[in-house]
Amino acid sequence: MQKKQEILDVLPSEQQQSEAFRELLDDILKVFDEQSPKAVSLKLEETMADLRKAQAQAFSELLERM
Amino acid sequence: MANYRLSHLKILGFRGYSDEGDGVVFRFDRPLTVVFGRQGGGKSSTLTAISWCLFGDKIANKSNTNIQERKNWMIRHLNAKQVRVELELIDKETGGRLRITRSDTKKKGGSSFFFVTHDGERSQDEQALHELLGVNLADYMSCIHLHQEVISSLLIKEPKERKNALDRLMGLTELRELFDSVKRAKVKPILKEIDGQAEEFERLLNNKIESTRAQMIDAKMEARRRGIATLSWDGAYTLAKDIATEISSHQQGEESATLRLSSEDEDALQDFLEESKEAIRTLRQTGTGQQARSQREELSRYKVEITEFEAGMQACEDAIETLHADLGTLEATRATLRDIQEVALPALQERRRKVDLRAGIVQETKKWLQAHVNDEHLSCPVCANPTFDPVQTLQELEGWQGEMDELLAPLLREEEALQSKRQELEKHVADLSTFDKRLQVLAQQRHQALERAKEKHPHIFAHDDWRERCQRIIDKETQLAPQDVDVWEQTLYDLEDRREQLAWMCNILPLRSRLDELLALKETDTFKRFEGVQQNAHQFVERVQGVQRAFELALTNAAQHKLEDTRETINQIYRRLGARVDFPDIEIDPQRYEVMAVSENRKEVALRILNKGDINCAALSIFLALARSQRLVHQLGFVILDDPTQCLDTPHKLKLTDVLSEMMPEKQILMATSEEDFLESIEQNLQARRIYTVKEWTQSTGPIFESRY
Repeated sequence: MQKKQEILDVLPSEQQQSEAFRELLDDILKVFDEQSPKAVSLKLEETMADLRKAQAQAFSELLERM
Repeated sequence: MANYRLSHLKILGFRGYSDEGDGVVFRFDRPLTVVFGRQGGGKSSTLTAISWCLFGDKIANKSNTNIQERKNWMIRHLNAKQVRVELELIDKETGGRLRITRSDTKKKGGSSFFFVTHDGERSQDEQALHELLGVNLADYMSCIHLHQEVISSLLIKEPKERKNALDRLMGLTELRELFDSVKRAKVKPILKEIDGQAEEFERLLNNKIESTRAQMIDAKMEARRRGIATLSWDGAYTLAKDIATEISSHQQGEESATLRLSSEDEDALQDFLEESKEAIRTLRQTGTGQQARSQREELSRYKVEITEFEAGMQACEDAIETLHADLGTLEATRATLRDIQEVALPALQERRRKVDLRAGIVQETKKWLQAHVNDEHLSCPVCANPTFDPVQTLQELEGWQGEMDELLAPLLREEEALQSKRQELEKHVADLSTFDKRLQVLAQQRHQALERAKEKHPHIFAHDDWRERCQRIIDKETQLAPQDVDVWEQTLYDLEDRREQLAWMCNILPLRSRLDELLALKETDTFKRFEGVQQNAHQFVERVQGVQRAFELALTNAAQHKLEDTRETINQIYRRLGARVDFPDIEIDPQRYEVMAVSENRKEVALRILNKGDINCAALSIFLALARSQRLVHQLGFVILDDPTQCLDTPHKLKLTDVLSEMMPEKQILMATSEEDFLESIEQNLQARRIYTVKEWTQSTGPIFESRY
């Protein structure tokens, strides 16, 4: 909590109040504490990879309709 | 918070130390312990034995320690069978003792490590020890054990190493790792892929719209050329229904009224196109007009063929009948011929031969008598009668010859007649045979033709009255006027033409729908999902970058706070150690992570301004200031200084003695030096110290120390 607060303190209030931002920060800190710095990188990349996969699926469906 | 200080150290077989005896024991019972001796006397090994006891063989690794000389570094003495280091730490606050033992032997698998806490708990977990002490090797090498090369990495190594060293010094490693872990994540390349695919979609869609539009324009021009005035699905449905109605009106029997547009949609139209094509084809084959013409022609062809065969047969039969009428049947004729050839003619010829023979005798006798008629004493040549009268006999022979001629003449006539009769009969037989064979061939051909016709038109040719049936159909179809057939053909052509129009509309109209669909594609849920993913990806990357910036900011802030906290101490120490007039102060730039030489109105990167001695003073100032900082989080209350006075002159060494003197109440100090003036300075100025002096060193005994207070 102290680490999170230390980080939140340096942020503009807009970001401090952003639910999504706080959620991401929580996720990162949790993975960092429970696993490793490398796991944090992987987790972020995985999230992006999932989005990429979802986009590829939608792209494929759009191509079919074209 | 624990504050562990050095209590005892026992070394056996470590580097220059022998493994014989009980080993060398050091007691750290004063705030300052100095290990003094010449170069190569085992001073640094003594300090490093503590590191090995705490961290094991990792300290012999160059990449772990950043110390160049640690490459291929040997732990165990060349002649030693074993190496063993025992370290006792004591918590200054509680008096609790922590005993750590590490050993290794020549034998594989002979290494051993364990520690025992003050309450007697024994553990072999090295990680647990490091957690207990709150320190890892990197931190230890940076802020506990000051090695000259570690100092140099603060000042002259690569920026990344300086940052790492400063982070370790300031306890910012965790924040740095957090920052690096987010920075390392390859989210931007994936975002680039996502953006790339979004652009790819835009490009594909625009291309598709443009190409469909072009097709539409071509199709409309073609539609105008084909006379399609208006293009609409309703128009297409209406046209399809009209075609269906017309085709149905021409269909007969079961096929009638089966063609229809099942529903008003594109698929139904496509089905209708296929079905109507088939219906028109069937109509062409089976409907009035062409079908009638074809059937009539076919029936006529069969009829003519069969009739021709029959005519041939009839001709044969007539000829045979005539021949029969003239000379009878083939069998009777053959019998008559056989009778003439075998009986009548041979008998007649025999009779004629006999007459011929008698006539010949008469003739020959006559010739002889005529030749001898004047001979005297001529007797009968047959009976030798002397009274024989040749003249009378000649007369009689003349009479007989006349009789012979009368007999022969009718015989010759009769034979001639028989020969003539025979020839006539032979010809008759030949003719009859020829006609008979011809008749058989024609009958076979007629049979085959009739079978073919039966197969094609059984309802006509399977009946005995096929001629009448055939004729009735031919007569009926013949009644159709040629112009009716032409009208029917035109009807079919019109139907096909309209169907073609419908097919063309079915090609064009989907293009319009397709274009509408393409233009509306961006309104679909799928596209919104596609677009949403891209937006989410951007938002996510923005958040990640925000977090990264936050970590960086927190890191910078923390560094700044710590540096601000220690800045005064650093400068106090540096002013006392360095005493430069032009750049009296140093500081660490938290943004650039550089050590700067500072004057009243200037700041310069220290490496560009300071000499080697000043740099060492700067490094010592930073290290000692940070080592004294209350913000450091480890549990070790001592610092180890390995030869800290390199490149320092005697006045500087004296100044360092003062600085250490100030520090001793807070931190226990273990220091190695080979410089006598520095030792002298310590002995004169620092009372709370124990000094171990290397008296002797041989390979077999290792260092032998003399201890004094």
